[in-house]
Amino acid sequence: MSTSDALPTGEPGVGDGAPLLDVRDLRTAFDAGGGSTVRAVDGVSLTLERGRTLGVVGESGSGKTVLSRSIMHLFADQAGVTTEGEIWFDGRDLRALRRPDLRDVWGKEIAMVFQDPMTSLNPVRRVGVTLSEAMRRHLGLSRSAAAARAVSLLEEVGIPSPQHQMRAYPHQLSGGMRQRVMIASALSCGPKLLVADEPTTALDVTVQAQILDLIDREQRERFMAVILITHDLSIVASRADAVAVMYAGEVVEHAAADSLFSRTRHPYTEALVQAIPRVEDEPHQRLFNIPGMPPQLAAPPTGCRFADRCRYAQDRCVDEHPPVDSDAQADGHVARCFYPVGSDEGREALERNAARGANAVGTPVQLVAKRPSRPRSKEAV
Amino acid sequence: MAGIGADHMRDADDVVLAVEDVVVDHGSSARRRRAVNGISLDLLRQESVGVVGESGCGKSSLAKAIMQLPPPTAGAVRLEGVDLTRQRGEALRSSRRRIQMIFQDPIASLNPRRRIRDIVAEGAAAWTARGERSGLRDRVDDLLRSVGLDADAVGDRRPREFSGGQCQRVAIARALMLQPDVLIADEPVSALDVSIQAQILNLLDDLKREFELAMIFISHDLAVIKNVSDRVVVVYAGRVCEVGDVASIFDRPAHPYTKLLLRSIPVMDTGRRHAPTGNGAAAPAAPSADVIQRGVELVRADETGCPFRTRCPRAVERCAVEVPEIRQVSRDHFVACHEADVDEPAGRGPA
Repeated sequence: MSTSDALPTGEPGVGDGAPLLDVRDLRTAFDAGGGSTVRAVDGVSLTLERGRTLGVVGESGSGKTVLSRSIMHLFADQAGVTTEGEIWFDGRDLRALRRPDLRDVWGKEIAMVFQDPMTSLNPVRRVGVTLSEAMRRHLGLSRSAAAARAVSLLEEVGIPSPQHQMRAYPHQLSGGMRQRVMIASALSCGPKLLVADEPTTALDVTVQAQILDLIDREQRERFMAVILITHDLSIVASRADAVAVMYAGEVVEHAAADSLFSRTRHPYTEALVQAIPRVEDEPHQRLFNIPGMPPQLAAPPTGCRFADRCRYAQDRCVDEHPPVDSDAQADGHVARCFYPVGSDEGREALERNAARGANAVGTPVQLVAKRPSRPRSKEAV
Repeated sequence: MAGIGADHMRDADDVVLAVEDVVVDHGSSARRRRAVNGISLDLLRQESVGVVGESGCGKSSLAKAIMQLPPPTAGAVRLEGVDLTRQRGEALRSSRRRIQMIFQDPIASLNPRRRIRDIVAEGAAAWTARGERSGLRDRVDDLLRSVGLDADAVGDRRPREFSGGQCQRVAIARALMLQPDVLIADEPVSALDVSIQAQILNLLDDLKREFELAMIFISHDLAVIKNVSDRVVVVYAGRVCEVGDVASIFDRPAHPYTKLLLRSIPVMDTGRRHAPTGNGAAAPAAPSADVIQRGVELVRADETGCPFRTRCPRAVERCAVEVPEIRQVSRDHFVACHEADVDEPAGRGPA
């Protein structure tokens, strides 16, 4: 709320108007043996401006992690993995680059922070060595120059007595401190894009707040773009400029963060928001039930992948795969849905399903999103 | 926070479980660490008590101590007045069936080589004469249906064929098979996706009513705790910080640690973009970063003072020498802090 911190991250005059990242119809499929393939990312298009944050939310198995690795083209030339599409990053198509060239991009221009800092830091290397490594390779710094910068990076990310911690091994640090080291390492070569994959999922809530604040601050100071991948909608609500919601390998809704939450269009996003318990809610409030489970990515349904769990679903949703709607509103708020939330079609679809008590697939439809809380205990007010 | 005392214990007829001044030590001699440092709490029939705290605060050690797995280092665990820590052998076995537990990792907590029906039946089978076990099958199938599974479709399959949410349903059915009075749920939804989490939380709420369960629900997630609890116990470094009904804890938190936890929750509000979380609008100046950056530190058994003082913005000299005693601040609201002033509004901005 404090106004001094509410400045947009955008800095006028930087860049030539082209987005930093422009992903077009990206597809990544894994050979699952026996002739079947798992299409983990299936036709995703995204753009990200310099200095901005894109939040990617989805449940486990939705393809968000594979998407982040695909965006970096980490699967280049890997056996058993097929990738398609275009990844325009800072004027180049990463898919057209060979591995040696990609290695100059990875770590230097695009850096990554992972969920588990214990397994992503080399356990037998001192923190200082890990930190210096990338700077010596990418920036050509000498051992001592890299070490000096490593110390100042550790200080910048809030590690007490950084000089001393340079000699620490990862196991000697707490989870939050390790994640700070990961972030320092990711920032070391001044990346234009930071990909943070569930960076706070393994951390306590107080530490989570500190780490997200740290990423925020570094982003503003460095004018760096961030892709923040998380399962936690409240994190993207408070931290991202734009949000892509993933379901079963597809982006089902993509919009500016405030638009996504205030004018939600995809039924999955709506259901996800209503399924989350919030501290603002009354105790024992009934949570919205999303029935069923996500589909198998080896054999996704022909129609909409959310149809069987969706309370709006009509026959068309079962037969036809909804495209990303082309007549998006002015703010670029797009969704893959024939009967979007809040539209006339959506309202009619919901009424029809409510009348027959089930959606087109036959899944019972829960009409009231949230029941009023049922006071149970004596002290409930 | 981190206090001692038992002012918050209730003197009611329907107390089903009372945990009194329980201490749990891990490790031996020189490396001995105190995970639970004198926690007291009680649970009424059909009540849900939420225990909330960060990793390392002793939540799970407390749960295991209640189950006598193993019995706590010191203190008493009374199930309807009978102290389990003094029970041995057959008597303990028979008390234990009245307290059942479900765990964070539902897949790992089911035997991968057994069929779902056998897993659910196992506890009850141990209590049933060999010749009469065939009668259990109907109850197993009923319970599987109660937890939302199709008994005929899943009964003969094995855990690996199921998702985390389904395995948690099986674990719940297994726990209910012994008709417990108390269900201890240790982070039961932390490993689940939000859509599945909602299913399990709703299910637990229904089953609690249907089977008239009292529940201790352990979680690090304050929103989940608020959703399931009637009463909340906030724990830090093995001690109780604050106890109260849900409204007191969430609307009028008194302990600096509870306030810090509440402030740290990401809020579903896009307007807060780039407002640092540690410094909400209604909160007083945030403590300097180096104060709150530490995590929970394990305490030595001989540690004095309030364990939260190293992170506490309000710590004074007294906090280093004297463990705060739990005191009442309103009808069902207790805090263990020397400095807590009760009238201060909650630190998370307009409700």
